[in-house]
Amino acid sequence: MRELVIPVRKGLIRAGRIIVMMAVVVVPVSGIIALLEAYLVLDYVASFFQPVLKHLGLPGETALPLSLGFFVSFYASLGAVEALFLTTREVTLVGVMVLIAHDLFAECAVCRLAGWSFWKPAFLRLAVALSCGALVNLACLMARWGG
Amino acid sequence: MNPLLEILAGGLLGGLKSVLRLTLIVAPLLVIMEVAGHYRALDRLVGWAAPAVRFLRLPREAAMPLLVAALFGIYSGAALMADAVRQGYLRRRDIAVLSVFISICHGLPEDLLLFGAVGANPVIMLAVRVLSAAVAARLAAYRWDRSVHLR
Repeated sequence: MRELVIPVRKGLIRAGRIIVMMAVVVVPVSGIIALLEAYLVLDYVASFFQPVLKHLGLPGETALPLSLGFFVSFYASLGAVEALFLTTREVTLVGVMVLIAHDLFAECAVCRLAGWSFWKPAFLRLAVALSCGALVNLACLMARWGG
Repeated sequence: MNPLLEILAGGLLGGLKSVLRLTLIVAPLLVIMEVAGHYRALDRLVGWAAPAVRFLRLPREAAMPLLVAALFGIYSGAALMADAVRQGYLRRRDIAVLSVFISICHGLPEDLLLFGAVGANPVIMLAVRVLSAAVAARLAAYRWDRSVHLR
């Protein structure tokens, strides 16, 4: 049993780092979204993106977690999703897309370092994410899940 | 208090509560993963990953980076890939195909649990991610091998 002390401690330290990363991102994002929502900016953004996101079966305000997830950070998107009021289906759809394509700048840089390319993963992941979003939306429509 | 500050404070507090909830999920998960690493559970899983690696037309050596990336995240996987290149196990083609898979499908336990905690369905997310990664990587392998043959 005592031998587990080291891995448990390592796990907690890694968790601590992730929690700090999350706190630095999620807390401000939640604050900003609360403000955007109160000052009706969110409604404006939502109506602006609604025509496009309608094809993915998502409300306009999901433009925020989606763009945050793609271009800023996975945790920012998480914070945005928490701060908005979305149904399970909508969160799942956002999750599917953001999980495929997130932290694009940082992760594409890592891909470049590992020996591949920077732009290929960026375009690939965005394309796959959006197509999977459309496909899952179609599946949801056929299975008549939410709307 | 100034209404703007009140709203901001409410939002920030909500964010803190979210982080606390997410912590309760992430901490045990990472401890479990470290313990699993301590008991070399990964080596046993590598055997299970063999059919996947074969499907992607990748050599046996690609199984470890693939698993590590899928379980621990893209940075860990990329580190293993870079090491494999330096040591010569994997060629450029293998790296390209592996990268396609890994870039779409990495960090599964953490990502799925976190989004699951905010209300998504993890089964759907997992299935879509793995399937799309497999399709994309298999296609990449096909195109790479074909372009070599046609030369």
